[in-house]
Amino acid sequence: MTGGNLQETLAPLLRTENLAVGYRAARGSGGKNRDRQVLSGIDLELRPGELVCLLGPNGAGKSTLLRTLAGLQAPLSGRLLVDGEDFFRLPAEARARKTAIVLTERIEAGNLSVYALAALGRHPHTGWSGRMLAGDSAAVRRGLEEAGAWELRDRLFDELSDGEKQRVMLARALAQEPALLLLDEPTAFLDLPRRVETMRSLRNLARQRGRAVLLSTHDLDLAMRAADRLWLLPPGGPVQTGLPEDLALRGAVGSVFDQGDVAFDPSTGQFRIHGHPEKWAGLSGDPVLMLWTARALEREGFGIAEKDAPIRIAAERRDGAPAWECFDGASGRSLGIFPTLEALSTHLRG
Amino acid sequence: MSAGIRRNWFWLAVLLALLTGLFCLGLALGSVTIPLRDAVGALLGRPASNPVWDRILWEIRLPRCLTAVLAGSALALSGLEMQTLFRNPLAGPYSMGISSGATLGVALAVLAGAAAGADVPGFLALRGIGSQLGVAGSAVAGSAIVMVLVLIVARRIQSNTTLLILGLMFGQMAGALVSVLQAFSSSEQIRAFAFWGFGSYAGVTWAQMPVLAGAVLAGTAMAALCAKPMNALLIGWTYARSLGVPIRKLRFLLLASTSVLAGAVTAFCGPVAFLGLAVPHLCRGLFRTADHRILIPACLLMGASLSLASDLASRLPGGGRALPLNAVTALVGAPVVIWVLLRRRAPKDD
Repeated sequence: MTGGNLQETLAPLLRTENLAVGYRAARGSGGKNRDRQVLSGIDLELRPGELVCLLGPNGAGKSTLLRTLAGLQAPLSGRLLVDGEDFFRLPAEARARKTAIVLTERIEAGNLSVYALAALGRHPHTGWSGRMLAGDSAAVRRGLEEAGAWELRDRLFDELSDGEKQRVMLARALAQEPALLLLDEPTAFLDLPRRVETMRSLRNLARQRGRAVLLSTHDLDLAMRAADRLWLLPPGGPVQTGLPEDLALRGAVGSVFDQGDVAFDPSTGQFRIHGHPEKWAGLSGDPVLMLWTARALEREGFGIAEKDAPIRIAAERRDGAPAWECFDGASGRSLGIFPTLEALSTHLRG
Repeated sequence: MSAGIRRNWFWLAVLLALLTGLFCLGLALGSVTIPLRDAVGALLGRPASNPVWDRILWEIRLPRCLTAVLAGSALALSGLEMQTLFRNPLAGPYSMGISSGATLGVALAVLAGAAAGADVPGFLALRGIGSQLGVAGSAVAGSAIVMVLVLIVARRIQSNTTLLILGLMFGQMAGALVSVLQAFSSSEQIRAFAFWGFGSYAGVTWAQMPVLAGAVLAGTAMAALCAKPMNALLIGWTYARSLGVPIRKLRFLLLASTSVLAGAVTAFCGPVAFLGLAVPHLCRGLFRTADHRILIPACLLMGASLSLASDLASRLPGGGRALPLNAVTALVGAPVVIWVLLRRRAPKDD
């Protein structure tokens, strides 16, 4: 695949230069400089065809950054370039032809049918009367089909389920034919299979039509698997970007999310819940069994020790079936053989 | 889609036919019944077979029917605009206190006129272009002030019902100020004002018609400019902005249009209840659409028809007696509001 190299050579669709985002103090509210700065010194790039996930703890400024990139609020300072043009110098309709956003907030849409709602995406493309030409209708149909909402077109929006509404709002954004698609937590209200499906289809949307897709999410695991690139927002710190794997290896993921007893474990790519074990156990045997045994032991409050642990557990397949044998660490005496992790846990507890 | 467009044209044609029929009935019926043939003939420039009928038609019935058409379409249109602007199905010029603001404006103008030595009942009858523009202008200003107050509050308050109650309160305050003003008025002034307060289409003369018609035309033109962005507003201010809608301009145009429409009608016809609130719902139900490009002409036709029908009903007792117009429109409008309230509860319980 030359995709990676190709992307490197493409001009960025979006570039920020020393961007600071936040909320401006209301005009006439008295004292000066009461702007609330959420993030500053942001230098980022987005390329066509790229799916980027924006990750960070609550309050790190994900939504504020997305809203700024969508043109919904002006930056406090710095520049935002889209297709090489200063985004905030463009008229509102020209901005809306370049970027579209799908927000988390759930909306009520009165009497609007799904088709009529998706057709609102043509707003920045039609004339003053809003008359739809053949090209507009084709874009609406394509948006509905790409979002998997074409068969909903005659239903009333307010009668749909949350997941269906999400698809329709995505269809509306796609009908807008933006070069950059922004989504604020598109997977928040979905169950696991739909989350995976949503990510997969967003990835296709990015690849097939050369759009850039940027989405914020709390789903670290899914984001690390699906995203071409991550933007990590540590609270207060500078934004870190890179391939998910590079960021994990560099320890950047941990630095953003580690908190209290929760820690990111780069050796498994997952979060560990017990950060400070009081008991230790040694572990050996079959690699797959070891992975799951370690998780069961961690839940019981054990840390996995390299050597000199008071107990040692051998996890091996015996006659095809898994079995766990527990040894006293000092004497090497067997303490018993267990057919399941549940039996082992019960023994360790008691 | 084409089936939907045919359906829209069909119902618009039906409404136009209904309006024409009601207009002819309005010319024919009253304390003196004029044969339809003569009534319609008079419209086409043929002198009626009875010269007395001719005078009744030209000096009483025709201006009254034209006033009913202008007032009904203006109120319905301003109701539609307010419901979209506030995203509130119960918004309307009367329910949100806009008519009360206009009433206050009229009361102030009348009092100022009396202080300046004008003859009050004559002043309210609006003879002379100066007093017409004075009263109409202060009614529009009164409407606009209440609109601005409600708009300011609406930016802080999310709840529809709270906003509605606040609108009612602004209306009550304006009403209270009117009462205070009346305490300083002569009994003749009070009587003239009270009669005006019942609402009537009978008082508008040919001399006043150009001012009323001009205001309604101006308000309608502004509303027509807003048809497309009002559609975008159906999915909320944030999304509308992301679609490139110039929010401030739209808010100003809707504010101006609503104030001119509701204010001018109130100045000439008194506060007319419920037409503005009820007609948009009837149109949405009939046309099964939320598209303002259809709802605007639909509201104009339906508002005019319902207004003519209410005026006809108010003449029912016969013998020179008439029911207060406000009583008739309330009898038509209040059930629509109840229906809207009951229907809105339903989906929440699913």
